[in-house]
Amino acid sequence: MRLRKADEPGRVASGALAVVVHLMFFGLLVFGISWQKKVASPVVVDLWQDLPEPSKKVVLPPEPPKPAPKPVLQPPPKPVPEVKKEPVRPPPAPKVEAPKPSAADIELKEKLRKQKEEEAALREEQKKAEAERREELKKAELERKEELKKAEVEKRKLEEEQRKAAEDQRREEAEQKRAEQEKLRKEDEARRAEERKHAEEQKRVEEARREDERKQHEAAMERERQQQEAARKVREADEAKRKAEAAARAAQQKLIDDWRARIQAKIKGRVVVPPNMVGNPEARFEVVLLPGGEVLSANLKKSSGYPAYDTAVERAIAAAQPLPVPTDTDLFQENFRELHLVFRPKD
Amino acid sequence: MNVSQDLSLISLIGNASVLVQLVLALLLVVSMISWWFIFRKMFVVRDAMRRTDQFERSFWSGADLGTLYQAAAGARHNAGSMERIFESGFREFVKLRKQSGTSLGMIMDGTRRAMRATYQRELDHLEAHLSFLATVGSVSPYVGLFGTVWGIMNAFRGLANVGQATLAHVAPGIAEALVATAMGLFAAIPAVIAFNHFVRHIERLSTRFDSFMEEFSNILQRQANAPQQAATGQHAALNSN
Repeated sequence: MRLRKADEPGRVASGALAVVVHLMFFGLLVFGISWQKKVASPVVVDLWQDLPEPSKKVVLPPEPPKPAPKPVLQPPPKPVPEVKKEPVRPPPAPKVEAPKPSAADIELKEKLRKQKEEEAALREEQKKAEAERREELKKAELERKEELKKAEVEKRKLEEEQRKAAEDQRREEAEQKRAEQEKLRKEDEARRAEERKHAEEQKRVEEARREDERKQHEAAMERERQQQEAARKVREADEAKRKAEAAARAAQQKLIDDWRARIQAKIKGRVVVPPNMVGNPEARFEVVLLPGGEVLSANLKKSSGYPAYDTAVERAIAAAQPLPVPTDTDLFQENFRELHLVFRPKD
Repeated sequence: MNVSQDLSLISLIGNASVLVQLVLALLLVVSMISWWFIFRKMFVVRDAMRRTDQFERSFWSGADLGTLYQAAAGARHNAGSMERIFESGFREFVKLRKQSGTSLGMIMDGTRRAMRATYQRELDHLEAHLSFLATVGSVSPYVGLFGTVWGIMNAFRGLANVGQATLAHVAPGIAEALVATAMGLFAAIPAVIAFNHFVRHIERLSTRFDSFMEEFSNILQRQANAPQQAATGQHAALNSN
């Protein structure tokens, strides 16, 4: 319905503005970053500060001589032309006077002739003046050339001096470098000597240490041997003791067996064996005794298969008390507090 | 060691990986387009406001509706949005009134519909490209971030091959990667600001159009009740149409 595109304002202008904005942005970026770069560069300059001192001295002298030759060159040519112009002016004066006496007869002709002459003279004069000027110019030029040559010579001299200075500087630098290298070398040597000394000392210390170790080792061996000896002695003593103990124990066992046999015999004497027993079965009893030989309890542990026999034994135990027990309380406590007794009818 | 010398923008971009360069190029193009739209929209909105002011002034100064209509119809391509709304509404009103047997309610309804249609079209025109600005504003930081992350990944991968890692090894890579983020932000920030600015202005314009439509409807209704007054102006307008 409507042609919209035609009436929208500033399509091209806005495009151009957009481009401008972006150019500004990138300009900002580029210059912002390059500004940072400039800040970074002085660090490089700092490193050079020590070295350029002699070179600055060399650079400075050539500057003053340069202005000097320029004033020398310019003044001479300028005064020369002025001097020439002054002598040129007087000659025309006599020539103007000359026509006056000859202006008698034919004034026109004379005038013309004189004019011509004058002109010729003038021309000649001019030519001469010009020649002189040219000569002067030439001379001036020559002078200038000489001056230039001189300046050049001077310049060359200066350059020579500069070069010499540079060479001096270079030599100095080389000298410095050599001196530095020498110093470095000396330092190196000193360091190496020190290292060697250090190494020797270390070796000595090492040897001492090894000796020490050896001694310590020997001492340790000795100690060990002594310890072993002591251990052997202890062992022997132990063995002797054990033998003695074994002997004592054997004696005790014998005593115990003796007492047991007596107890058993006393009980056995009171057992009434039932008549219909077949074979020789055993009845086991656990008897708990009191120190005086009284029976606290008698328990049947294993029946003989004949209850009559079992009860007969039990009755016999009860009847046999007090049972014969050792008077030694220790022995009683250890071996006769609880007794396991075995009874067979035909023993 | 001399890393600082390699940090000029051009060398940074030149050394970047292909993907980062692509991201940068994309962001540059997007930024260009968004700035172009920003300036265009700026001109369009400013122009619309100026013309609306102008038309409102001339409308409320008590000018004859017929002459106003003729002026609007004559300079159709040069008219402002409000002028167009007025023109379409008035034309519909006159057309409907010419038809015999249409009630006042129908006339007013038709007029309102015509104005509403033009109003929608005008708003659509004003709001064109705004969605692009919104998209740029929300997406381009992420695109830039993507480029940066990729660049930093590359920088660290290169670092893995170096035995002794120093800041000097990583710094150029990170710097070149960060250029992408800078570019993304440069594209996004103006787009967001411009988007909000234009949305506000267009909203204000639309409320002005709305209220104008209501007021103009009232005026037309009043005129329809007194037909003989405006007849001449209407006929002249119709002839010129």
